[in-house]
Amino acid sequence: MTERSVSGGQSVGAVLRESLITGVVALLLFAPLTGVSLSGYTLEGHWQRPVWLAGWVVLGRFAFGWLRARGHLVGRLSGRPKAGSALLASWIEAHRTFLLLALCVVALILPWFIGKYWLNVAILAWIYVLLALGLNIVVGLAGLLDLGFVAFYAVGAYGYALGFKYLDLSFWAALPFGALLAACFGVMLGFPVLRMHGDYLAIVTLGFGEIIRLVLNNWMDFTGGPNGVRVPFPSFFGIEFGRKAQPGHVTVHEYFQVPFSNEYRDIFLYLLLMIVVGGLVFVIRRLRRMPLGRNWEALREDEIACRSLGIQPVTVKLSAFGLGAMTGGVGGVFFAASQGFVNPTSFTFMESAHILAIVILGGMGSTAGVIAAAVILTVLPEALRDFAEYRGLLFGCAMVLMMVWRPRGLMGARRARFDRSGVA
Amino acid sequence: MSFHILVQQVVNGLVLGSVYGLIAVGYTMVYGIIGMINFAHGDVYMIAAYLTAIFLAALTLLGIQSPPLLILLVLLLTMAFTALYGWSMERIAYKPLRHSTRLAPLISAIGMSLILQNYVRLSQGARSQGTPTLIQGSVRLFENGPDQFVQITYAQILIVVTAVIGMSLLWYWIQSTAMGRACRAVQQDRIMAALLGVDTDRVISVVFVLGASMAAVAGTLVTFNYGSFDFFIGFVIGIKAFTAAVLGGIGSLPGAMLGGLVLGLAESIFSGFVNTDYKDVFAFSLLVGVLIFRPSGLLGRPEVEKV
Amino acid sequence: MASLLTVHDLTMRFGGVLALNGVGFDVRRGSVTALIGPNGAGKTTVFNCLTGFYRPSSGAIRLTDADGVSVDLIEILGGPFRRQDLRSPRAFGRRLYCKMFGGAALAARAGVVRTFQNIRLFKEMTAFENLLVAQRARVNNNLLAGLLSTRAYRDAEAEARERAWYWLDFFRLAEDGNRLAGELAYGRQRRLEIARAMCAGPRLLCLDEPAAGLNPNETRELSEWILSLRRGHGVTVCLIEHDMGLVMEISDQVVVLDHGQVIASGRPEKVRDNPVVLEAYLGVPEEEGR
Repeated sequence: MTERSVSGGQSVGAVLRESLITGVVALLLFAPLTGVSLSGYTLEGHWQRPVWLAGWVVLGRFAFGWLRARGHLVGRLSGRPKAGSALLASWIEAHRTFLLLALCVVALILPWFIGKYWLNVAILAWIYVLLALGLNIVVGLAGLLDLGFVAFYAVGAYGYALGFKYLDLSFWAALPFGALLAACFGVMLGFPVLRMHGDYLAIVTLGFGEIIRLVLNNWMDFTGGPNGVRVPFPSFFGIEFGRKAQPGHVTVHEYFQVPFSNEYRDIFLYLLLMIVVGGLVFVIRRLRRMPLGRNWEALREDEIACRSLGIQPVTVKLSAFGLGAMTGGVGGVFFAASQGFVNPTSFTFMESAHILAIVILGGMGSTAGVIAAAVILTVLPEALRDFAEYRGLLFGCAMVLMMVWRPRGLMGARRARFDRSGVA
Repeated sequence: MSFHILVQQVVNGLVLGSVYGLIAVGYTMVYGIIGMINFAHGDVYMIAAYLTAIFLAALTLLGIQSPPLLILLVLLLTMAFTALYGWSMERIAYKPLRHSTRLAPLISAIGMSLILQNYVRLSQGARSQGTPTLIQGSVRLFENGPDQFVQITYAQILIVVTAVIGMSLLWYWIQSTAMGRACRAVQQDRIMAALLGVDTDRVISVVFVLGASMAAVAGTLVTFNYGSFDFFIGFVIGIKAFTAAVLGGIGSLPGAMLGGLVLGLAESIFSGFVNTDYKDVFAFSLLVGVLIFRPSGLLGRPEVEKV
Repeated sequence: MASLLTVHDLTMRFGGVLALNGVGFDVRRGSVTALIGPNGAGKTTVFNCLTGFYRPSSGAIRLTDADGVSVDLIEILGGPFRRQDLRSPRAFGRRLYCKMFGGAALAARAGVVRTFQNIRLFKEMTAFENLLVAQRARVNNNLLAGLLSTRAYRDAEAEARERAWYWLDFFRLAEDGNRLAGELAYGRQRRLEIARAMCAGPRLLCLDEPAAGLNPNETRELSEWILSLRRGHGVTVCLIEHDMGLVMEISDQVVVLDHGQVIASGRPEKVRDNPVVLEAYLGVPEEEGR
């Protein structure tokens, strides 16, 4: 026992005592809020709930303390991926091209067979992939915590909706328009804000996100307020996806001589999103090896050192912020196009938190991880109803646990290696 | 006519401002000591509102009838339990991150905020809840006809008085007790204070406990006054209280109170004379404006960058 | 030999504290100048002013290169607007630019590059990437060129890699190239920081306590490196150092600061025997001092 306490662990008795103390505290915490629930002005008792919860806490605390006392968790807590995930990573590394190809083929085949409901889920998943990749540039690469990312998403979505309403913009015109509008908003907000350092940025972006949502909600004359705005469905080089074409146009089922189905529209959006995401992944890959991408990461690591080397923090941050905002804007345009309707309830803080949770669970900075997290976290709530109910709670727990346990992500970002070839 | 509205809005603003000030204390003390924004602090306030309603209902079921006794007991119980929440939150989500990366504590705090909101939503339901009115009655000033008067409810008076008492006690504690001195020392220089034998972990815990109990005071009083709340109220009021803390100069205790009052007054006058729908937009714009043009706030000292 | 850097009457106030009081000295091109003095004498404050991190309350700092082009290192921090600015749009534009983008980054672009007392590496990036980041001025920063991977971009990147290898070799860090900077041993981190500063192409290299925490062997290596940087790479060096052995060995000029004032300056052996310096370091009993 004494040897173990020397190595940082504790004796079983001490672990047990600590677990029981934790249990008592947990019981005190849970008793009033879960033990009774408000019903009008009186209470309903659920006495078994706090006891169960506290019991689980005691068990968990004991298991954790016992494992730590035995030295099982020492290496794991240092925050760097160890053997198991390294093995997986090297396996993925070895079969990289094959895996990518297989995933692409699956993703291409999928939309034709999964039916309308799951097709919509899949489109949503792609949109979240897009948003998460955009936020990943800002948070994961440049290290700027943006809690109002949803604002740019909203700007993109409303840019399309209102652009159609007032300027008669088509989907194809709205894509660059929404992207540029969002980037402008990003730069406008970023320019004054990015000069101050630290966590203030997070709060300012949060406030900005709320301002955008409240303005969209309250400016009845322009945005339609809570009633929202209708958005037209996109067309493909003048070919429409509706049942009947407008005069002078042709619909897709007439063009290809197939029976009408409104799934074609969704499949079209799905494939288009796939191309956009693919392009973004390529751009991010390039950027990470380019001076700009290196500067982002350097800025995340140490702003003062960057300045001492002549790197201008404001412009570098602004480029990350603007690029992230632009991606958010594109995501917004697609969202509006897929829903056919936008209103302010889609752009609450919860949405920002959702995207942030994806980026954090995916491992800040890791493109593959973020894509995987976006797909899993969008599909899972649809597949498991219970999960949807507990989603917020689980996201919260996951964020805390990730920060405590492995702040660099589950996989850990891969770093480019350099050798002397061609230099010697 | 407009004189009465102005005075009424000033009164409302002072009440609102005291509430903001009480919550802002928690932000400002935590920021002063460990330099992080405790994003979940607004949700601590929300927890306090629920605890207030639950304790009120429980004590009424136990047969306590007298309003003053009920108010006092509920206030103390809520403070104690909310403080426990504040303490546990620090232990679970922030203490392990003392030496982690810069973003880690803030992300963890956002996670904590999500946890608290959803925990209350799942255990108490998503719908809005309420409490019976305990404190009735009001005084009217400058009465000058059927529609022309300034009304101050007793509940509003209670809020301001309790806020003043609470802040004074806290101020006395910080200035005159050994633990308060330790707090100030840790705020000045955490490593040096630790070298001189101050138990910094304990000081940080105490600060979270105090911040949470002040938020509990605010939560209890507001619940007595307005009576209605849901699991999401902590979000907006949290940002506004943070605005108050920044406005006053983050890290400064009198600054938090002053910032609260200024923000409360500004918001209340804005909604009385300009537009009610945009009062939150106004408050958030104020936050953005202050951070851009005067990040050190009204009473804070400009920060010298440590190279 | 002409001066590379002239510091004149530098004064710095923090609130009521007078951290620097009329500091002035010259640094000749190609020389090694050491700033010494007891703790709290204001050495690091001078460094922070030189490298653009602090704006001095008054005084002048000027960097003059071999062609006679000179840069006012205080103007680039972006001072308050003056009335003259309104008359000349050019001056106005310049001041606006400095206010928005000014500070340490512009000082570094002018050629004053520094290291830090508490090492500031990009810890989660590899040593090699640290050196690539430092070559901001030499790489192709064009976004489109990078995305399309044009010829010019690839050439610039190859050159940057070559330079990074050169400096890794120079400081004998080649085997650590692909390791994370934060994982290197302390002495190696110090070396990497100097290598990174060299990659930024400095005219004046400011080293803030480069030998702190190094063992005698490493310190000896360091002094050789500094001398060969000066000899072989035309760099002027300005350093803060407590290790008197190192200071006496490598510096051409020693500037002694105490209580924010220059109390002595000149050749190392002259400064060493100066009674005022001895007093500042060792302290002299009251009765003898008066």
